[in-house]
Amino acid sequence: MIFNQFSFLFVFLPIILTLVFYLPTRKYRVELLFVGSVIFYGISGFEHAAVLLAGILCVYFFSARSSGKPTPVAFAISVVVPLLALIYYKYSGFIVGGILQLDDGSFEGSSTFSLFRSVVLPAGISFFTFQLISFSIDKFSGQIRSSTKFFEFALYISFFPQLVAGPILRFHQVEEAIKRLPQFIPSIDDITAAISFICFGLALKVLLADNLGVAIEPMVAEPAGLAALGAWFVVFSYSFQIYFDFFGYSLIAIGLGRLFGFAFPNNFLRPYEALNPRDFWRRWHVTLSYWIRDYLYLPLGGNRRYRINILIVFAIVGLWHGAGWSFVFWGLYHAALVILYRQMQPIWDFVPRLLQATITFTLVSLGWLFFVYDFGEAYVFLKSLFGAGNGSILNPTVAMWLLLLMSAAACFMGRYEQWAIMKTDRRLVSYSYTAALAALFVATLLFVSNSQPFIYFRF
Amino acid sequence: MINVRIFAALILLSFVGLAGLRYIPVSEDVFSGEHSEKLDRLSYLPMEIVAREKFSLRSRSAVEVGIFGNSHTWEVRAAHLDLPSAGFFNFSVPDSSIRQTVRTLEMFQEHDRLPNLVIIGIDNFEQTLVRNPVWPAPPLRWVAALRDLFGGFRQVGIPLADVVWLGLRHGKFELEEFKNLFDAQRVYGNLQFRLPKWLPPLKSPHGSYRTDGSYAIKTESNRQPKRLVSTNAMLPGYFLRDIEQLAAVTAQVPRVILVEVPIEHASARYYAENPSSSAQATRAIFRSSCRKLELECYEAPIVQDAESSGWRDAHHPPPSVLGALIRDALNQKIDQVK
Repeated sequence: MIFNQFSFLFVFLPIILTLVFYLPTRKYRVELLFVGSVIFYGISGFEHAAVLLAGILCVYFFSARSSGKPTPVAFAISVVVPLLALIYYKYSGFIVGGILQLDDGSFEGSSTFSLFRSVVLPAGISFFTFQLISFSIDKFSGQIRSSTKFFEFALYISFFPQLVAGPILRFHQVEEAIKRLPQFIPSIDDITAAISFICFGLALKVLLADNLGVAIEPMVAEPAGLAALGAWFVVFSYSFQIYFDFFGYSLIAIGLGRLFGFAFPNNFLRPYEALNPRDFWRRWHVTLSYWIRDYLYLPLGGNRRYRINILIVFAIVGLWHGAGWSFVFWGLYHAALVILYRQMQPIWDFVPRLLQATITFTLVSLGWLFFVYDFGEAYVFLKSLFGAGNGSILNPTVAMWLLLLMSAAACFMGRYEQWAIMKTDRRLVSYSYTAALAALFVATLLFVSNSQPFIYFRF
Repeated sequence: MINVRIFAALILLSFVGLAGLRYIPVSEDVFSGEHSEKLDRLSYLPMEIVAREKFSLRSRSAVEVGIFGNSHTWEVRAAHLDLPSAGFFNFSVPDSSIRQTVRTLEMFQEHDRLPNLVIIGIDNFEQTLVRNPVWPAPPLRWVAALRDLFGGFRQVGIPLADVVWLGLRHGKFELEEFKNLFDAQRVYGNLQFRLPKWLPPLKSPHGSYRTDGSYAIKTESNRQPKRLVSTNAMLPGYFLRDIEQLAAVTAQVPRVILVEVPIEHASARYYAENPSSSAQATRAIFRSSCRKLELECYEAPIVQDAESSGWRDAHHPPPSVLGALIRDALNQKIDQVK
């Protein structure tokens, strides 16, 4: 199930809210929410829910339930098992075909290797695996001292607003909220903020990201046919599309979290206003950046082996996003940008800030090409970008340019997190804001039927 | 900070507005009088709007001969049946099922507008649509759905599983309908239908309705249709109930005939030898209920090779083929179910 579906907005959500807040089973709210989350996830496939449950059970029995520090063996199991599941579901095809070069298509239907091609990736497995691993590490390092109740741990991993696309949470960030869930009653501030977050998130996803996707789809399909103008249009449109897609999801997750008393961290801090590549990674998918910093970069030695560690870390970030060499390349591309920035920081920082932000945005946008294309297609696209395309695809229409312009305005002028929690005593402002938000919500609903799944679900 | 009450009120208001846009018929009857541009535009609108306009009984003069069904029957005209065009109307609505036909006839009976000759096209039993009635609009539709469910509980021969299944179908259907309220293309189409001078059409239609309710497809198909995939999903108990209701509703109608729509000859020959179990079960109910209720029913014959041109696919016969079959049935030149 996904947030931009009627069945979620008008069936699942009202039912789960009613069950949690209006049934006299207050002390079982954690259990109820866990079951609801598993149903939310399991509707897309029983096997996927089984993978999630197996991960939860494994880490719970080998790590979470003990009051003290788990043994090294138990710790190793609680890290390796979820990691193996991730490798099997996400990387087995890549390892067999892309790295070992064993699957050349001749094994179809007859060999061990063909089975990897039929593996379907459980949505969000990278997200909940990272949460499972972070819990195991925190427990082993003594940051989590006491034992955790099963359903509290299970809800931490599976809570539906953040299950499939984050934010990637640490246990300490939600422990308090889970424990006080049986007593929690959302305040009017929680409800109004939640409505605002959900409306903004849905609008960014459905009205902007999906329509941008539809606009560039035929252009993306034929990179060789693009004129330079069309190719640049695709670069920036896709850049906004992936941002609104993921940012929209994150806003909805924050809103849903607030309804149940969870204060999720914001995953995006206006990343396209970043002044340099390093700044970008402090603003884009923040919870992933922190996870990588704390559990990978610092244990590798941090700044002591800066270049090597940056290359390793970004290669892994690339792989986290997708099982393919183009994703690894994308990660290394960002590593190169970050290292390059460090080398030329005095010059870079001397440049006017608007130019810094423009260059960073352009470089980041060019990087997304490797999310869309493999190397061969990316090369063709890059040629089109510099005028070598055959121009058989028509240039973007006025309506498409307008959509891009609106997207830019929504990206650089929108202050959604502030607007969502804004308070005012001026009635006119409040009423106008309410009317605008209601109009935005209805406009969004008009396009929900044609909405696409979130891009980040596949990670 | 938003005002939650005002927000909820505004959302509710927009729901009501969209529902009104969808369910309130346009002020004039688009099928009466001369062929209007509205009939062209109606053809690319969704079925609920077609149903809304076809079944509205405001100004249309009394119909003598009415044909009911879906896209299988919507091209048939009076001329295909050797009948005079005056007093003929094709009430077929694409994507609808026998359940919609029964519900429509009930509405017509309530308004004393039943035709004197009712011709009902029933989907071939190897390919039946099972969609619940989309018209009349809520809340009448919800009342009918509840009647369906409670009726199922009371009626002997309808297993509990079928009642539950039908309940789920109603639930899913209502969710779909709710979703459709907010479908941008539908909303635009509806607005455009009402305000043609202000809004241009989104796409050009592939055909047009005529004032007799029938549909004219612009392009002829010359493809050889692929063999039909059997898709019978009828709930046998409810099919029996529908036929019984049909008999009750049309008890005062001078003549009612039920005709199973034929399928293209290659598929028909295949399924004559390899009928699906669900089609067999539905056909058995059709036969027994027709006998018991003394209805005039005709099963689909295997059409001839020569008649296989002009089929859009294996289950949409050209109007000439279906018309000839209905004509033969009307003239009792073919055997009815006995």
